[in-house]
Amino acid sequence: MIAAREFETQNKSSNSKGRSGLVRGTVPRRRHSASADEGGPAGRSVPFGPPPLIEGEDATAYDELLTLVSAAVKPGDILEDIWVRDVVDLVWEAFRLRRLKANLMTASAYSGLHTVLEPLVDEGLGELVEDWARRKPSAIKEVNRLLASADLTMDAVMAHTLCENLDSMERIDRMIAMAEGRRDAILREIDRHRATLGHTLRRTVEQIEEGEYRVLDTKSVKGNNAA
Amino acid sequence: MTSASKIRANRANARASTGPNTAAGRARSARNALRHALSLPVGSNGRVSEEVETLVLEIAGPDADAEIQDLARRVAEAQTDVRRVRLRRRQFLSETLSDPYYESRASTRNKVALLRSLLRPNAPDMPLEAVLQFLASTPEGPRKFALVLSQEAKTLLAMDRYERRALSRRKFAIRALDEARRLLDCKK
Repeated sequence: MIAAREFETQNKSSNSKGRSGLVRGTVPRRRHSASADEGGPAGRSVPFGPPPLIEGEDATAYDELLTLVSAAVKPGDILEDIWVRDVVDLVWEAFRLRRLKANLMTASAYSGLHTVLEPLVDEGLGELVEDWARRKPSAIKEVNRLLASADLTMDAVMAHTLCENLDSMERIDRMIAMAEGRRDAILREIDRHRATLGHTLRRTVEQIEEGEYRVLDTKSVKGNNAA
Repeated sequence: MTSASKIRANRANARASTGPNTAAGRARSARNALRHALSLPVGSNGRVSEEVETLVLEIAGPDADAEIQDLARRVAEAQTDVRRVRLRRRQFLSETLSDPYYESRASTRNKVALLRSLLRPNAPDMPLEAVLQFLASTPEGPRKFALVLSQEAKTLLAMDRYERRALSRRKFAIRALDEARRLLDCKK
């Protein structure tokens, strides 16, 4: 699953690749230069710009997401293309921020562990916590023993970690909510636009049908006269 | 309903707020718009306005009348603004995250305080290795990202405001374009 992907160490943001155009109504497979500046190649339409990837993010995963969403929505015109790209960018941003929250908790867990173990360990706490953070089996075993002796679990450690990072977590949550709000607003706009498009299509179909009736009527009148 | 006296007071206050008075202050405030360059109109950059025209053609189609073209231009300009803001934010985040010396202001203060204390005649006795390790330490990974989001919140919020305005302009421009197309279709 794309959502579960962690930041990958290798940056696959295709530095040397150029942009490929978008054929409307098909699944866009765009490749963008990570170092692309504001403009695009002269004489080409660049309504989307490069993907919103930052260092360490996987361009292939982004392309997969874009493909999935495009295949589901099937953009019918350039405006829907723009909205699809917006939705994908916002979903990507929300993924990034959720990953950040999880990684922040993991990276700061040693600090919460230090707080929890402080009343339980007399000497060598710093060293024990450092070894635990390095995932040394002996340190992990010792930490588990100490926690069990105080009738505690890792939940207590994570609770302390959360308290220590509460400001950051709140800020990240607000940013996630903002991205999701914008995504929902865009989805509503697609609905509204498609309703208008549907109205136009209905009118066009009615006009074509009226035209056909007229042709049929004329033919039938001619046929009757001949008879 | 705002009372007449309140309106008078507001106008009097507004007349008193004339911005910076000194030449230096006026020169500085004149450069405000160039800080992010995001408030500049898209027409001020030749290459960008060329992109806008290409986008207008894609949105309006080749046989569009003048009204549809005008409305499509509004959409294209707003979309170009949205793209400019996002690009700037991405560049800002990438540059900040790839800065190897980026750290919190509090941490910088602590390091300076330590160096000052070490330069005093009665400097504390600390192992050199620990001092060097402390001075060279910088946040990494998710901690660095969280720090950037927290410390650069003001800049990021400013960019967010530009994006919100551009998105709003784009939304209403698209609605106007859709409505014009619908009316045109009804006339046919």
